[in-house]
This record gives sequence, C-alpha cells and structure tokens, in this order.
Amino acid sequence: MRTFPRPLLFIITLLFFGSACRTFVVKDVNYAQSVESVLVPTSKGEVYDPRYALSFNILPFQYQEYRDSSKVVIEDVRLIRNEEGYYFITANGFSHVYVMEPIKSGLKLKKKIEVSEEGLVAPAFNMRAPFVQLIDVETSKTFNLTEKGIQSREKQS
Amino acid sequence: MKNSITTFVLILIATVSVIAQQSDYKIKKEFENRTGDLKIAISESKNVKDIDSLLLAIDDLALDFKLHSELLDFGLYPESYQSSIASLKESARATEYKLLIIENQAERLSLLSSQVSSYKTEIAILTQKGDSLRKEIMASQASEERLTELVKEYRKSVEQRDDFIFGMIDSLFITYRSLGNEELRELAKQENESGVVSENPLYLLSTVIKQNIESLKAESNALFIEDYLRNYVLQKKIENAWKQIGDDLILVYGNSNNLNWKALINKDLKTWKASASYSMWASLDDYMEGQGVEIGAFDDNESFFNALDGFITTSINESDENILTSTTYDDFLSFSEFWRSKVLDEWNHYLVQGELLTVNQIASIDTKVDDWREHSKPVPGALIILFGVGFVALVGFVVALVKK
Repeated sequence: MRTFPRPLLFIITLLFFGSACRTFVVKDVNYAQSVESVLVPTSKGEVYDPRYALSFNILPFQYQEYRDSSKVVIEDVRLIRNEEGYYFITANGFSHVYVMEPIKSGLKLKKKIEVSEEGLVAPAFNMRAPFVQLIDVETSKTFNLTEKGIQSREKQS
Repeated sequence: MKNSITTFVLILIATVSVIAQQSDYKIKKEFENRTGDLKIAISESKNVKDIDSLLLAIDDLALDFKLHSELLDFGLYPESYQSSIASLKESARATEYKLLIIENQAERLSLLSSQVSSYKTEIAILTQKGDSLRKEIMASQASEERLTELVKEYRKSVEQRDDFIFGMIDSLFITYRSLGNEELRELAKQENESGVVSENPLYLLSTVIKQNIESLKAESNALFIEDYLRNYVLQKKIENAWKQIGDDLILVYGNSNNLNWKALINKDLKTWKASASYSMWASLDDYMEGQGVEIGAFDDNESFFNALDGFITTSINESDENILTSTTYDDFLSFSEFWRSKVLDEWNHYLVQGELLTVNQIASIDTKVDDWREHSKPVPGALIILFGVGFVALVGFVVALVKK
C-alpha cells in the first residue's frame, strides 16, 4: 500500500482547519422582530430603538421620498426586521418600504418597494413569517413583503 | 342551505381579514395603555369597593387580550402577558389590604375621637371637682373628721382622673403605634380633606400636661406619697408615649403647626417632669422619716437604691455587734413593715413602672432584708442561761479532773 507523503498531509490538514476558522458560520439564525418598533425622530432626524439598541438618521429616507431633507416632516418611523435580518423601514406619507441590509456602521438599500402611489396614511408592520406584513390601517390595504418585494397583495376588506 | 354556508364562510374570511389587518404594535400599545390606566386607578383607589371593581376590570383585560398573549409575550419583554396581569392583580390586592387597614383604622380613629371627646369632658369634671375639694380643704374650719373625709374624697378624685388619663394614653398609644407610615400619611390627608375638625388628641395632651403642672404647683397638703408616685409614673408614661407616637399625632393632627406643637409639648413635659420628680422624692423622704426609717439622702433612682442598700448592709453589721440586745431587731421590724407593706405591696407597681427601683434591685434588697432578719434576731434568754450552766459545769469537770 502506497503511503501518503507526510508534508502533503500536513499542508492539507492546515488548509482544512485554516479555512474552517476563516469561514466560521452559524446557520439558521432568526433575526425576526416579533413586533415592529415605532420610533419618533428628533428634530435632527435621529431615531433610537432602545429595545434593539439601533440608531440611525431618517433624513436620507425622507430625501429618497420627498427629495427634501431640510427639516424633519416624519412623525413616526415604522421599523421591523425579518427572519433573514433585513430591516423594513417606512413612515406615514411614504410611498415605499425600504428594505435595508445591515453593513458595517450602516444600512445598505437592498430593495425599494413601492406600496402606494399617494403615500401610506397609517402604516404598520406585522411579523407573519416568512413574510413581513404591511398594513395601512386607514385604507386597510395589506401587503406581504420579503426582501425581494411584494409577494402577495391582499384584498381590501 | 348552500347559500347560508357561503355567507358564513364569507363572514369568517372577513372576520379573519379584519383580525389580520390589526397592527400588532397597536395591540401591544393598547394593552400597555390599559395596564397603565389600571395601575394609576389602583394607586388612586380610595376604598375597597373601588379595588373590587378594578379586579373585575383586570379580569376583563386578561380576557380581551388572551388571544394575543403570545404576541404580547414577545412585545412586552422582559414582561409578559401573564406577568403583567399577575402584577396588576398583586398590586390591586396589596392596595386592597392597605385600604382595609386604613378603613379599619379610620373607624377606630373615629371611635377614638369620640372617646377623646368624652375623656375631655370627664377630665374637666374631675379636675373641677378636685379643685373645689382642694379649695374647701384649704379654707376648711370644719371638724377634723370632716377634714379627713374631704381629703379622702379629694385624693379619690385625683386618682380617678389619673386612671382616666392612663387609659386614654393606652388607647392613643395602641391606635397610633399600630399604624404604618403610609397609613398615617393617608389619615393625615383624610383629616385635612374632610374639613371636619375631629377631637384633637394634641390639645387634650397639652391640657392634661398643663393641669398636672398646675396641680403640683398648688402644693396641697392633701396629697400623699402614693399620689405623687402615681403622678410621677403618669408623667413618665406620657413622656414615653409622646416619644413613640408624638410625631405620628403631629402628622395627623398638627396641620401647619407641626413644629410649634412639638416644641410646646416637649417644653411642658420637661417642666412637669422636674416638678413631679421633686415632689415625689421629697414626699418619699418625708414618709420614710415619718416612719423612723433613716436611710440617708436620696434624690434620684440611683441614690435611692444606694441609700436603701447601704442602710441594710450597715444594719446587718450592727446586728452582728449587738447579738445579745433586741434594739436592732426592733429596727429590723420597723423597716420590714415598711418594706413588705409599702414597697412590695402598695408601691411596687409604681416603683417598677416609674423605674425608681428595678425588679432586680427590689429582689436584691429583699434578700438582704431576709439576711438582716437572721442577723438581728436576739439570742433567747433561756439559751444564755443554758450556755452559762453548761460552761460552769465544764469548768467544774475540768477542775475535778485536775484535782484527781
């Protein structure tokens, strides 16, 4: 029986463990928030979620919607995180839901989902795994959302 | 039939759809708002009836949100649906318990208030009676027999008055001592809010103290040592009660004059203490002198015990030196009579309560009194003769032996 060369065996073992250390990954993590966070922005547009220790500025989102970030016009920011870890952000008057991916010290737009032409009147997120449900309480419009977009639109009751 | 089933299904779908379109956040917020409102209502409850209806409201809340309990468990973290309901019920029950005590205390206070009112009248009558008797004694030109009768009557009225005050202090003490700080604050609030000025125990206490100072100042010859002892103990009792419940009484009845009340009663208690103490020690000294018991000077608890103790020790030594005479035994009998009938019997209660002598000090002196009896008993005459005959016989026997 031919023996495997020892130096080669050593290199293969080293590569195996080395690569394992670099790509240490835990699978099946559920990031889902059970109940949305409703955050009131400061005059500078800062919002802070004390429960999940998240803070950011809402003015870039406002600019995306209204092309104006000179002063804060948003009353409440609605935010929820889905199972995959994407943040779904919207507010009253917004026509879109912003799906944001957390990156190092930031949030990167994954998808901008248009949900209303005239703007949401009283939006609210519910976690209905695997979807994030968006409802407009005033108009009773309901959408099932994922980070890819609208998966289904329920009829108005 | 088919149509009705379709209608039912449509209604069901519509209902499910309506439920589905509720905001979870809104449900959570509604639950939090109702919980918060109930908490405020519990803390502001005025009586047990309010709490009973709030307990029903908590049950309603639990029922209304039972369907959303899972959602609330997540949303309310670290609280939960169950823990929030349990916490509300616990708070309601604790408040109910507190209110029950307060209602009970309020009843007792109302009863006490009417008691205080009757005490006030009774004390006034007794004081008036005592004063007129004293004046009659001072001005009396009547026979000695009538004078003795008047003095007896006067002393009885003073005793009745003091007993009344003892009872009143006990009643005040028991009522206010059992109240917690929160209950007292609540009572003070009720007292101020009711607008009805109930009988004020502070007035009564102040009057009682002033009357006692005045009656001691009057220096009536009609009072005996027992009366002064009782007065001394009464002062001590009121002073101790004041130390323990004075602040509570001021909190409930002092209104805006808290500091004035405290200063006034403290000052009067001090004056009464000095006067009662002086009268009592002087009267005790006079009494013992009158009884032929010369125990030396004393004017406080310590010097009184030392004088008694020293007197008995000296007497025992003297008895040892005078074994053949009965003089020291007569002294013993005189002291023993005073000790048994007065100290151990009539005055014991006052001496201990007034801390003039402690129980241990009385026991220690009692043991020495027994010793004194043994040492002071004169040797009987027959025994001396027998001893003399025996001695002569012994000498004779020795002489006879030598001669032989």
